[in-house]
Amino acid sequence: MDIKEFLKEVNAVPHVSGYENELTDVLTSKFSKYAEVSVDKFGNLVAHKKGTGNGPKVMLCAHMDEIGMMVSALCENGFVKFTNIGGIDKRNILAQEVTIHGREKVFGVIGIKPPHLTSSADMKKPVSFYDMAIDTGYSQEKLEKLVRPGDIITFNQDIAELKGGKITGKALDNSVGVAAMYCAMKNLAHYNHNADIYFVASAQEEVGLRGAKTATYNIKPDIGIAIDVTFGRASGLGEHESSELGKGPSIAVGPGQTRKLFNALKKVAGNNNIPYQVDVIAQGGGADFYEIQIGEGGVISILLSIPLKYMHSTVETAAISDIENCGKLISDYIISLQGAEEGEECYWKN
Amino acid sequence: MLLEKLTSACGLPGFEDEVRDIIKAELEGIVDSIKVDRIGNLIVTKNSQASGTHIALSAHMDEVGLCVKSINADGTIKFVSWGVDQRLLPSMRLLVGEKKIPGVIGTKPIHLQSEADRGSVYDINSMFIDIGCNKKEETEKHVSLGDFIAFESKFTEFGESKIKAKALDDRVGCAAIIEILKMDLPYKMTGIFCVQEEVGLRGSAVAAKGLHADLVINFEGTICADTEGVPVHEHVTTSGAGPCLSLMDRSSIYNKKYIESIVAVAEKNKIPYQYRRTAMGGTDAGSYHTAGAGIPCIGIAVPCRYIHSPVSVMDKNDYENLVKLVAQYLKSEALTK
Amino acid sequence: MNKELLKKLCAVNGVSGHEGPVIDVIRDEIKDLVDSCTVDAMGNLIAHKKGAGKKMMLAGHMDQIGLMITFISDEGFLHFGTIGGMSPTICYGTRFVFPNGTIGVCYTERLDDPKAITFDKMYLDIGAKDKEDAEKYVKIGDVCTFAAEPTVNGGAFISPAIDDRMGCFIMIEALKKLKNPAYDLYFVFTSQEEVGLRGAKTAAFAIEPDYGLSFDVTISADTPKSRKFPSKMYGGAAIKLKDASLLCHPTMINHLEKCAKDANIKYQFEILEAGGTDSGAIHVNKGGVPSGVISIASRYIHSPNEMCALSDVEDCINLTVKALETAI
Repeated sequence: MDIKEFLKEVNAVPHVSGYENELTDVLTSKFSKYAEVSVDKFGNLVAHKKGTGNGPKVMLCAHMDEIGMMVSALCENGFVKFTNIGGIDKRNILAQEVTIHGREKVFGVIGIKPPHLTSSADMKKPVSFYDMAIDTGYSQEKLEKLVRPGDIITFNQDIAELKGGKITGKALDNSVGVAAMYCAMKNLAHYNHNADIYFVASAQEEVGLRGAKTATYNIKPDIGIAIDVTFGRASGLGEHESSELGKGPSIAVGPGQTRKLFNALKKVAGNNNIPYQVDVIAQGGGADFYEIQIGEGGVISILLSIPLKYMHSTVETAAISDIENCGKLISDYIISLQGAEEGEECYWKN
Repeated sequence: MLLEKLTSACGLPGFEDEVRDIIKAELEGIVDSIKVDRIGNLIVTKNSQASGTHIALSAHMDEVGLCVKSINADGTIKFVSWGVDQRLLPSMRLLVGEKKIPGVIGTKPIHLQSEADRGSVYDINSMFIDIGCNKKEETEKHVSLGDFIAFESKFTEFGESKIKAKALDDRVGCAAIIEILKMDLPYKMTGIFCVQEEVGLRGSAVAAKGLHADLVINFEGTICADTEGVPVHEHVTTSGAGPCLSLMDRSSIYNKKYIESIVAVAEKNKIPYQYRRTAMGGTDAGSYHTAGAGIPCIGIAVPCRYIHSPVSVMDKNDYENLVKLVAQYLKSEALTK
Repeated sequence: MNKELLKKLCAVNGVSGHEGPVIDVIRDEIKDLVDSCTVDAMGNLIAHKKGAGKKMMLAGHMDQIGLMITFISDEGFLHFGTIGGMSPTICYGTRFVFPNGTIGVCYTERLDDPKAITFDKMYLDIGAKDKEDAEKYVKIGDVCTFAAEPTVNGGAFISPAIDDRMGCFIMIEALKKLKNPAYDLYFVFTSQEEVGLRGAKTAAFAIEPDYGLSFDVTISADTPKSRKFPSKMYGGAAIKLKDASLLCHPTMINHLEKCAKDANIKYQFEILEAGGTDSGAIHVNKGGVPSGVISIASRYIHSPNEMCALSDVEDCINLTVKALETAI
């Protein structure tokens, strides 16, 4: 599978939390070749691939929403005030290019007051969101015909290749997770697995795991695997808080993660020569995983992550091989469920 | 479009070759002579046999950017910058060296930041560029110490009449001089495209020596702070209100006689203009006005919002009016007196 | 407009978890207009007005922020914990009232740096001689809230608890005006919103609505040096776009906007950066519920003197009636 092409297609459409519909269309056209696709009331895309029977109900869940912004006010001279949707570092969005999805797509840049007009004390303080504005180059009068409060704003950043098999761009959190899930779907295309699989591209994770909550309620899975990103190691991040790019997906372990599922995944990875890392998560963490775990009756669940550098920026960076290996780990795990018997690590029944 | 071609080229101080080549190709056959001096300034002459007033037109070819300082064990690159506001650097995408290897300046994820982190700005000394290599030896295959690093930014027209690009300071000046040299104007003219303005007016210091012009018109992209939240008295210039004329900056006090003469031409021809309303900044005029016995200078510029950033913004009308005003000025009687 | 009812609603003492007195006022007002009126285990008042269409849950919260007494000193000073988003600087020097009418003055111990005012240094003073005297009026666990008179001031209304008795008021008045509802309607007067949308969560679970619509206050971004946001007093009924608890569903935003336009009702949009409201809990109920919010732009929220425009309230009532009589 051409992962880079897939990521480019995802990157080409806006998919800010709550406004994932254009991406839902893109994914539907791809996923429907392999599974029965529906979009639920909350906006989650659910691709159901039936099993041969007697298998567990497995929910794979990768959130599809990206962080972004929303227009809050229009000012004189065509400047636009905005509010953030999801966790944006105010310190890394100055001089970035954006698109406002108004009546038309409106180009803009996030400007800044020049340094020579800024006191040396202010130069040492981050510019607050309230003091930023997007320059659209329009007069207020014309802008009012194109844009209004509530319009969604995305960053303009294409996917570029770096050395060493890496890619960089925006919203790789979590298009790389969706890509890994898609890899798994393709790997399983001609395989008669007994597991009943629900591939979920969830909505509104970045604003509070909201889609995963409703999807879990609807699906009521036996086993849940959340696929997200984890902190990639970069200067300033220690081994205890990050995973290396290119060393395989991270399998999470901690009080929340079902230990026997952790063991089963490690075994599958070992048997199939898939590189992996272990991510120890002591606290709840922000991922969809949490909502899956506390689903009705409790769900045997775990979090798989793809290491991502510079998370929540427009220069997020990931390794292609980690995405492929994550997809392979998932599909090989599904296949391993085939002959599972009571007592085995991957057996799911209580 | 000429400005698109010029801003898409990379020309960090001391590495202006790409820009110089474009300008040369544009002027080939248009001017009488083209020469490059030892520091790298491109100097052209037109109507060199004409007698009377000799006008020099000057702009600089270099742009602000970064330079490779060292390579870390983990393959990332440490850098120095020329005139770039460090607050803009996080999450910037860059092109490293002549091969233009893509690189990014990444930062600590917001999830892992402390309260103290969030309340401070990223310090340039703690930043690094990631080109994807994990090891110093890998990076060294692609990058050498001293390589220049340019902003990655696509020339984009937007809004009603705006342009976003990098290096508008001072490719907009280069473009204007090229257009003027292509016109049929009577004076003996010297076009000077300088190197290394951003690191201290070095190219013009060389070009000024031995220049025997009667007047230098220096073309610039200049500060414009007419943005949301900035009080009017701090705007310096207004985007869309016409080319701006300098009265004073840190390098020169401009000759009042010539300012008045060009203003008269603007008013007669109903070409919008404005004054640059600050004494900050410096330009190559600083080199010219004290050269030899002294050459009077006019400083004229296009207002550029977010100057020295990858997303500089200018108004097309300001550029067109600048070219129009200088052309009218050079056709007027003002200079024959 | 029934200003007397509005004043009465805002004057009732109903801190989160102690909404009983508010239930009594509302039930008296609406019981003859609905098919059933019940109070659930969380203390939500649920009034069902049967209809043929889809199930819509309306929510306005009855509770208000306040203080709970946690300790009484030998000298008779009352120490407290806060319920909901209380601010030390707003409480400082302010009168509080207990359901039995006892008044307490909120003050701070002597501070070397008056700017260092925090709740752990503050206490309530009911003027008691000592602990024994204090306990005649107040017990540990008692709650109190801002003491201030609801007042109509020209076109403005100034009162404590506009957050969110005004939401309740709009629902009541809309219910009275409603002629041909297009939905099967549940008017839910919720409990414990101020401490985490708790009442709305359980009510939504029990009702399983197809749509959610709540009523609450939002910021009025028109005071000196306020930040730029779209909503302001006298700007009309405010249609919420987002807050920290939800991104309003486009279906609901569009429905409300269309109703406002069709009925020529003044409206504006609103964005609240911090804080949420009952629709935040409703929209993630079970498999998800498309939800929206009608808001009243208010100044000085969570103070004894919240302020809003009566004309905006009128617009909200009219918009609600129109929205409930128009099928999505």
